[in-house]
Amino acid sequence: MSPGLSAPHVMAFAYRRGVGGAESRFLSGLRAGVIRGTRAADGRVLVPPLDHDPATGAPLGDWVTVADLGVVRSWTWVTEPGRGQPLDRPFAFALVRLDGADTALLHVVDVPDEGSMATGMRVRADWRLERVGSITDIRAFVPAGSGDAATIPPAHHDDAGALEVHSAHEVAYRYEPGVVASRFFESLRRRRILGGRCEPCGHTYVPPRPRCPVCATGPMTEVPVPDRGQVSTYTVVHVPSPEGPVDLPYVAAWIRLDGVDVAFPHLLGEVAPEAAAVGQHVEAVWVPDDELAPSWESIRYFRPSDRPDPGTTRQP
Amino acid sequence: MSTRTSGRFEDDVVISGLGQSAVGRRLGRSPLSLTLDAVVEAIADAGLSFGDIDGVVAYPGGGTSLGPGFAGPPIAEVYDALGIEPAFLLGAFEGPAQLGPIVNGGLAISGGLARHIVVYRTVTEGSARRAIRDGASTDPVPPPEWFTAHGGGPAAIGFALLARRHFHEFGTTREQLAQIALTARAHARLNPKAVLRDPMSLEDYLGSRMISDPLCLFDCDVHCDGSTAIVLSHARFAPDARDRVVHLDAVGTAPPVRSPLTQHLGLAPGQRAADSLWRRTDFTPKDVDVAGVYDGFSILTLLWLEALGFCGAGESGDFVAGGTRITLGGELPINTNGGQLSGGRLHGLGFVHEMCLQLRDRAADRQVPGARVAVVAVGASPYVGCLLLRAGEG
Repeated sequence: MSPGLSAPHVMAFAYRRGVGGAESRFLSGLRAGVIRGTRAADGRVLVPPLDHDPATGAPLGDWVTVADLGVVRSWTWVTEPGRGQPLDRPFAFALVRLDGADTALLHVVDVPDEGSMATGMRVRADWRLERVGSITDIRAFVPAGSGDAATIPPAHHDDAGALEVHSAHEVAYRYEPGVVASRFFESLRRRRILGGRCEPCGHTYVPPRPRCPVCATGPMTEVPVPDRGQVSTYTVVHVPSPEGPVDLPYVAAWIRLDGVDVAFPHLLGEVAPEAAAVGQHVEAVWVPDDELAPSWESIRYFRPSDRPDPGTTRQP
Repeated sequence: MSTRTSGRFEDDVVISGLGQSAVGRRLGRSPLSLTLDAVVEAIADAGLSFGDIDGVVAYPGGGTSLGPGFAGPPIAEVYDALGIEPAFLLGAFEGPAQLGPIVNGGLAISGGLARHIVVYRTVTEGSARRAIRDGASTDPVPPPEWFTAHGGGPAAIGFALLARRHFHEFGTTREQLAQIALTARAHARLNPKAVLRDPMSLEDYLGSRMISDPLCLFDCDVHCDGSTAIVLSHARFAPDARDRVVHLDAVGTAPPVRSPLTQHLGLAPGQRAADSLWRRTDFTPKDVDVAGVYDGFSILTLLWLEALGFCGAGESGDFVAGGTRITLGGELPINTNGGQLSGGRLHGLGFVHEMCLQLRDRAADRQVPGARVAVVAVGASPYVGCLLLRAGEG
């Protein structure tokens, strides 16, 4: 853990997608409580099914219903299930060849312990009562009794039509900006902007950096910089952004503070979109005291300023 | 004379086959299915059989999706489906943008790793993005941008900031920028596969919905579903139809060097790539008959025209003004298939496919008569690449 700020972050990526022909029909079968495969040109029954013949590439359309009973061809034991895995207790991932199929399906076997698993064991599907057209409509496979017969539950749903699958991926992590950026953010809480000046080459950066990106000298000298500058380019945004301001349109701009050599992105406020201009002098508008935080958002936006400082103004 | 690098691998490589699936806003088909349509057509077009193919190269490769529908199928699924036994495969995102597979595949062929390599680029962004718009899913949130106050936001924002700066520095106007979209639409009307084919006027363009000023709706390319494939062959083992092969004349691979002092204001992202291309050939910009110039956002087309040397830095607005120069019949027709703005965002390889059709005299109603030399330029900083292609001797 480095000294300085630290914040939890979650990166989420959720979407649904339409699935293709064979996958769609397979999943809609699961929703109806049946497992179906396609017959390849050489007569083998493929479960899960493929759109095209693995040998010839020809389209496949001969559908076969197979049993929900089968044999474990191979397996691996999961001792400590992770978040998002099918079961919250130890289980086996297994390749199950269903009776009537010639290929194996990857699924889960739910048994109390690793000693209960064996290659060659017979298993049956444990169907969920509420099924949605997902591979998890089979909760897990469980050991089959000698008297178990294949069950084909009555179809509750129309199995026509393309299906969609839902994906919700998420990565949680902790972000630590480091010492230099932490001091920069902490200063924003006090309505001060800190820059970093490279003494050998004379460039000043906002935000400050540990080392000069031009000559690699570091550490740089911490210098306070004014909260006034100029617009180096801008755009009036008419489409919503997931994290952006609520009101459209808004003006996003790159702003170079007086005496600083690089620009940074922020917002322009108190300006009609048609009045925004490259080269415009602007000043920071800070949030009220009780909203100040170690964040760029302590500056609500920049607004046009009629107080350019001639001593420090350069070509934007 | 040029300062050609010795040992040009390009001399060993030809594009021997072309294929493309159906293209549409939302086809509802799997990435693999679309890819197989394109690949099978390309292999047949080359006069080869599946067993002749000993390499598969694609951008960006499986598991590297930047968003829903972006990546296409993993390469392994494709060669599994074809039942081939490749000697070489590669999927790579970082490199000369969507032209990376042609550079990498060409090097593999020249280096003796493979004789016939199939290259594909597949997108199903039309379907995937539609699902988001329907509320079926939340919009994918870009990684947090610690230093931005307005979120990462749509990609259009970054390119709008670039466009604004071009307007400011060089006096470029919306009417000039419009010519990229208007030309694309005029050409799309001649391409049965293009996804947007209704007539479009300058008034339509200027009156369209603003996305991120100065970029309006028609400055942003249109997501679609589709797959494009080509076959790269060693020139010595190429099928004997000499009029059908297209020669890889030169590649441009150098990425922009980005100064920390200019950041977002780099207005020549393709300059070093273009410079590296012209150093590898005896041709000059004057020799180019037709061009496929990336138009993910229209401003990029202007920047590429400057980088490639068709006009000077900052002069692209004047160069395209009025549109006649870049439209069929003009001195440098660009994006004759409608580009990505109207043809659909086939993402890079679509331009290669179209330029090869032109050099094979097979572009039907949109043929540039006698086209012998074509350039393709693709990407935005930092991933950029360009190609020079020349017609076979047939």
